[in-house]
Amino acid sequence: MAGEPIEVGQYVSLARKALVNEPYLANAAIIGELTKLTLARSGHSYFTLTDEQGSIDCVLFGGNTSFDSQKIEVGMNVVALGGIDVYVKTGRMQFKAARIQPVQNIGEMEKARRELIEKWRKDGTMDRPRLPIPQIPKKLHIITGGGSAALSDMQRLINDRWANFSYTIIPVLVQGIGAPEEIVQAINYAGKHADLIIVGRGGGSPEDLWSFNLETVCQAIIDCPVPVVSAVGHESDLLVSDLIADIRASTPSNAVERVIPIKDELLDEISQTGDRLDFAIDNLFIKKNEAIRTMVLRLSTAPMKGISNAKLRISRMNSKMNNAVDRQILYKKNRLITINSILTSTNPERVLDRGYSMALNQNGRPITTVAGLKEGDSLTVVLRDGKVTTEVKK
Amino acid sequence: MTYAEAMKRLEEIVAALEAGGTDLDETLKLFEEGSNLLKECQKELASAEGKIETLRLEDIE
Repeated sequence: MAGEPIEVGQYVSLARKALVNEPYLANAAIIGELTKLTLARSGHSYFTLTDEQGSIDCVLFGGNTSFDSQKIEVGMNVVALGGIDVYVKTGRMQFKAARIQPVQNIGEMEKARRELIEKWRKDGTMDRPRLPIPQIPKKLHIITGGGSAALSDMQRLINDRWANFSYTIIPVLVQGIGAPEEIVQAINYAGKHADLIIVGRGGGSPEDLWSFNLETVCQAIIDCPVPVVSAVGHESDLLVSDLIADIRASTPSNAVERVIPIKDELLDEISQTGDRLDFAIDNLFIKKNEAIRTMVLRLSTAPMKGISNAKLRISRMNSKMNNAVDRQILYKKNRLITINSILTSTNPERVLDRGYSMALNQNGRPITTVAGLKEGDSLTVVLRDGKVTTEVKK
Repeated sequence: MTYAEAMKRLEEIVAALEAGGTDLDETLKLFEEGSNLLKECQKELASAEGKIETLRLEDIE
């Protein structure tokens, strides 16, 4: 039973309130044929979407440029993103769109994809030289779905390889209406601030991945002055972005494996190189000391003639040698402090402590290959706490 | 100098010292350069560390 009569305006206001507060209606993407379109001089666009079952009037404020740039015309299928509204004065219901986009069917999309590949094959874009990847990226930017599984996989893997590694995340829509624009915007920004970009998403249907087949997204990757890694979907998915990027990674995790080094490996490399430098310099100084001793010996048995010249030479050499040794001691002290701080802060066991050993030949040089070794050759093996001499058996 | 460049130069220096044949001044110069490069490499690693930043698209450009 209806109650007391209320004013019509009040009634329509209540109806409006009920409709706009319904989340399902307030935030929706609707698809239909564009049956009427008015691009008003104010810049606002008024249009009607229709299918077999229904029809609704729509408005997109300031939408004229959106229609023009996407070449949307009456008769096309379009998707509008927005929510329901009621114009209280007339009681007319309308859809207030925030965005509009033409719908393509898979056949058209696939055709466009092939044409794009063909175009870039012909004009040499596919074969253009790729940008080199920095060995240690300092300003990595990751462009992918915010809160996505792909992002958390990548973050976990980066942390495993290099805890405290610094990078930037730009969360974007990776599928649906608005996704290509967001990806392009993020790439353009990262192109100015990053030294390496990973752009991608996890697996999905071909339609879900389609942003990465679009010319706008791929052109942004091609134009990007910073190297871009395309990391889309699963192993088997091959997108146009994979073909034109600087590196194609088969998955987002694979992208991390390709570009983020393992910190411990780099630390090992540094400390091993330091050890080799120390061994090499030790050997050289041992030899130079021997040369001086030989000269002293020769001098003591030399005839008196020319002895003053020889004396002069030996004293010059001695003082040069002393200076050199002093300097060397200073360098080695500094080096030890550095290496010690590397090792104690991050990697407390030295190479030899971990059970590795170094083999030296008879000249005291490190042996890094079996080439040139013969049965019966004698080798010095340097271990953590001393040296032993061994013989090559086979 | 990047990490890769520093490592490449270090490799050259170590190879030269291992091969021998450099005179005393040259040897010390190489050793000093090598020591400095090792420090540079260490700095390079440290400079890759820091925070993880998340940007909002609305806040850029």
